[in-house]
Amino acid sequence: MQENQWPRNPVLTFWQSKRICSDNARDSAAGERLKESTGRRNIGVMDVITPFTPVASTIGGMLIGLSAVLLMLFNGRIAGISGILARIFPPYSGADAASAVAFVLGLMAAPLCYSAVIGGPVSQTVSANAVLMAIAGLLVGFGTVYGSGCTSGHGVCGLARLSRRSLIATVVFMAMGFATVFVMRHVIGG
Amino acid sequence: MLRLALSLIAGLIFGLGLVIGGMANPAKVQNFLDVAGIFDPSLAFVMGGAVAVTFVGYRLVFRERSPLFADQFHIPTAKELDARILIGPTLFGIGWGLSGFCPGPAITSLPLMAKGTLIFVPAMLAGVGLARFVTQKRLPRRLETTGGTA
Repeated sequence: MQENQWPRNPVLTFWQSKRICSDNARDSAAGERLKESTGRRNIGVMDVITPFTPVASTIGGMLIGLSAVLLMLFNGRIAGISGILARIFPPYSGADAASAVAFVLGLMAAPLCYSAVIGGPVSQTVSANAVLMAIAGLLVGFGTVYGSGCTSGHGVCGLARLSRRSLIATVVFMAMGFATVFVMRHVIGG
Repeated sequence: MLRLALSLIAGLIFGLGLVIGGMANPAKVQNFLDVAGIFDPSLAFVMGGAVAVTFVGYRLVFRERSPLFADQFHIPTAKELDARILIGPTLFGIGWGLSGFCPGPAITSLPLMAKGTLIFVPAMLAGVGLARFVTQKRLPRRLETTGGTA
């Protein structure tokens, strides 16, 4: 894995030095690399350094935008994934539910197509903590539908429409995301 | 049939955007959220690219009277700020931080079959069903306008 030098802020080493790590993290290869590159002794298992990819991420973002525009042009629908998932549940209506299913299948085809083209796997690090992932899944599923949108519906389409509700929603879920990772990694410890 | 095929293609483009942009990797998402640690600002570029293209594209599309393969544009009409617009994103943000997954990347990651994804997605669908049930009961008419917002 390519090592990321971004950003190396000396002020932040205070927090990094306070970290406590879980035992299994010491066996993780990624953790070893991280220890070498940062000089930190204690590294959490999920703390895999990811390279800063401004070009690929901008291209990826533009593709997401293109998809959102096409969906509006073709179906007159906001490209919000939580809304699309919600339309698969009752009370669904035939045509809408069918195009929602088609969109979901398209999403799932993406990593397979990507792998076929580049000839390698999609790199991904997912927590294997079953309890954590189950709780997180419930929160994400319930929260996005209850709040009428997720990263795509509020964060992309809503902001592009200059919706005040979406702006507030985006600020709230971003803030909670930052706060949650901060508590998880720097207060409780990795 | 054409509408289904176009929805599939839109989904594929969206998913490719997530994979290429790095959003399908929860570690990258959590590093974006970890400003005080191993910060990776890439995701700001995903959001920036997506919002910029959508902002311009929507303005072009809305010059049309109606979508090509549907009767009308389904634009969220709710304007008022209620508790739901704070409670929902609060719960979502916590789950997003814990897992590094939001709905799109989680679904896109399914075929990669990571153990965490296989636990996350059914739990997420249960949450979607639950929220759909709760909002349906209390606000049967509102859902039509806000359910498609997402």
